[in-house]
Amino acid sequence: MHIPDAVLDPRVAAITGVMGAAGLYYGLKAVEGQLKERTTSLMGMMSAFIFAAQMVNFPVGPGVSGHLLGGVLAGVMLGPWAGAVVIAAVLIVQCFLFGDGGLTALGANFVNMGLIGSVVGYAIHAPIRRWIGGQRGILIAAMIAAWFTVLLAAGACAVELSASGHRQDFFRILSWMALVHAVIGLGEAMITGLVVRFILLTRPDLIDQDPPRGLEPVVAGGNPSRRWLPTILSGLGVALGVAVFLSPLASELPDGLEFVGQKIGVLADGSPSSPIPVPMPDYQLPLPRLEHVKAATAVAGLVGTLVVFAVSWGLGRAFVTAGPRSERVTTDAA
Amino acid sequence: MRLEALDDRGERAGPVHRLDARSKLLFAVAFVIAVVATPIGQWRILGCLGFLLALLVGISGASVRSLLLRWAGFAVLVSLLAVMVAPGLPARAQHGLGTVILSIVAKNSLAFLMMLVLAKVTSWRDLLQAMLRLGVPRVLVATLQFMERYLHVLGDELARMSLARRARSFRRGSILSWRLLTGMLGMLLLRSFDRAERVHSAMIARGWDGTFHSLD
Amino acid sequence: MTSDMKVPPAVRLCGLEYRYPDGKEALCGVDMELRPGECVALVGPNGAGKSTLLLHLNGLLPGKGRQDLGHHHGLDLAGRNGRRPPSVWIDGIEVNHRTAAQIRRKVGLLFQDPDDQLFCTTVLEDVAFGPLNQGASQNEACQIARECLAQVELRDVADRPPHHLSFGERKRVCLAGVLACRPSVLVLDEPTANLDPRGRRRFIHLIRTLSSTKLIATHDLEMVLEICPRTILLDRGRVVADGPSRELLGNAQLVEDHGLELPLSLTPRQPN
Repeated sequence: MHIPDAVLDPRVAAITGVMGAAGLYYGLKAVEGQLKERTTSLMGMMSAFIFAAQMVNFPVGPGVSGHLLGGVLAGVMLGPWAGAVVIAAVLIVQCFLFGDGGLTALGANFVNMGLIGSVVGYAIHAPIRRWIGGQRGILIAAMIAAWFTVLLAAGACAVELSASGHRQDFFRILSWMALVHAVIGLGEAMITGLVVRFILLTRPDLIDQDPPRGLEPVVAGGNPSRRWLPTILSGLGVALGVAVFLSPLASELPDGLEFVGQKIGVLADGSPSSPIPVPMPDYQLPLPRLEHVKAATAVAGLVGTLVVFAVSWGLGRAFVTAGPRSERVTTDAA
Repeated sequence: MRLEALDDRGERAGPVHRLDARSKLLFAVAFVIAVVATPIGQWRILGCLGFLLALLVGISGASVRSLLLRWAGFAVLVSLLAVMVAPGLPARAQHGLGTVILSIVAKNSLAFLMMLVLAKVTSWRDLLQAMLRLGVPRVLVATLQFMERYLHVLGDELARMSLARRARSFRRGSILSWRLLTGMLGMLLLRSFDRAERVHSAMIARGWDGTFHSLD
Repeated sequence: MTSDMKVPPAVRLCGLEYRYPDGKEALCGVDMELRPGECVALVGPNGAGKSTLLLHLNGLLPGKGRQDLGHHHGLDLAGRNGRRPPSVWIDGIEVNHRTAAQIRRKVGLLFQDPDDQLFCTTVLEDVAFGPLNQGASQNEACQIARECLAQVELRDVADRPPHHLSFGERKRVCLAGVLACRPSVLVLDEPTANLDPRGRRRFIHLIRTLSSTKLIATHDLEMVLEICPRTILLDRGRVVADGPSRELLGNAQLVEDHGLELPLSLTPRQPN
């Protein structure tokens, strides 16, 4: 999902650059407010970990592989804004040292993976975690958030890639991105979930066990009037996630309208029309038809959501019966 | 893991290596922005920039072969993306699809190679100091500085775990099952946290106050 | 034990208690006094609390209240069950968060794993880390670093990256790095662990030449007999014994009761 240089329209790159910079600036200020002795050390460690984890690929389909994005993992372990800074650090290293992800696309990549990944991911996971409660809640919330943020990020990516084109280009790109990332999202949810579960079983103190109080930095006697913000954001996030999947279907309508219009036009001036748009309009590539892709996307969305929920519930069973804390894994305190 | 990029100090003290890291960083950023901002179809401008880049590659002593190899790896992906994105760009009507796609790939290549050259002539630690002096917020730079130190540590841990896993697995190939993958990742995270705490304690034990000093 | 009232003990622990956040007790009231210049060994089985104790000597433990992100060595300073906070004094100065910086100049802690301590690009830079943090100029720091490297007989590796050195050399570099801070109290955690015989011999010789007060946590009982006149035996967070090394370690019942063995040199010879 790392967008390279020169692929984005320069105006989009500029706009997302500003958005990214603003978001990062706010995040840095928020982290500074909570800065303790060890904070940057831990953030650096988390960045190193996510960087390393992103190098491990898992197969997603023929010729396609995905890797962990890590936004939700970072957010759950360190908090939304620290998580975002962590992702920013990863992106910077990848860009400057390996050319992975363009310099001019840093803004867009950060918006997709840092802001959406960590901040919105945290906002999605917080109310679910509070609702289900306990360690099980942390696990299930993290997995669902991971799943949804991948979709949202894919959607944002599609928007950025097609922002200067027509709406049809948007839907075309969106369908493909959503379909591919539906599977990657499952992988993200699985990896995030299993890692979080592992941590909860061995070092639960590493994950902040207090009920999350929202996106504001944790201050003594937090501001209750801000509590509605994360709920709204998460609801929005979930809704958008759903929309990402369903909108390709919705685009049937305008296509349908245009199709009808064309038919009428045809009847008017006698030229044949091609009623079936293919993904790469000017190329004869043997790819499945767009409607098939769109339908597959919607199905993937539905199935994916159910699968993630079911799996996370199953994994979470480990915590239901957690009464006395299981054997603490002690390091040799010689 | 490809961590040599972190270690490389540009041992050869060429003229470019000795320049202040800030100028190198600013130059690279300016170059990339110039490349990306060049309107599609302005091949002459791209050509000049490409020539400049070639000069830099020569001076920096970077191995052309390794640069090209790494470029080739990304070129495929970028081409695919270009193909997907190009039909929607407004410039397409003016210049034709082929020109647009080629433009994108060319621009991307120039930008990509420039970043690689920058990495070759500037050590990562100097780059971070340059960022700090250019005004990048301290929290971000400190995170990056720690990240660099811990990457080596993580790399070693990962290598050790891979070795231990291979010693006890009897299937050929390295396709990791889910369980194994997340088990390794989970262990890696835990051990990394522990290690990070110890490294941090060791730094504090020697009086570290939050700023990274350097000898030169 | 007669104590000179004018000179405070180099290290003093009084009722030191420590509990992990999950409630497990690590230290249950440790009392200890070290006179300036003494070389004392701290022995005990794994899990006795040796490392935890050492971390208290330069203020790394206890942590500040409810620790921030991820740190699992937190201690509620008010104490659970309302006990008085434990106390550590170095050269008469109480160790707390306000004095921490000052204490760390006095107490040099050599960690067990050199890779936890070596994080600079070159050996010289790493040894200079301490002096630079203490405010020395680059030239001064460089000079101090070179002196300390000479002291540990590693003068010629100054410009090499640490990960190119052997394990024994890395340990010596770490020692140099700690010495560069000019501490008056030297605390060593398992200094001879994993060293080959020659490396071990070298290290023991080095430690012997150092004049600061030394507290050495170790399993290497032969080394203890060589260079530490006094030994403290720690088990399950308590000081079980404190006395002359030969006597303490020669007490077969005592050492075996606490997870150790008679050192070979003190084992009565068996007729073959």
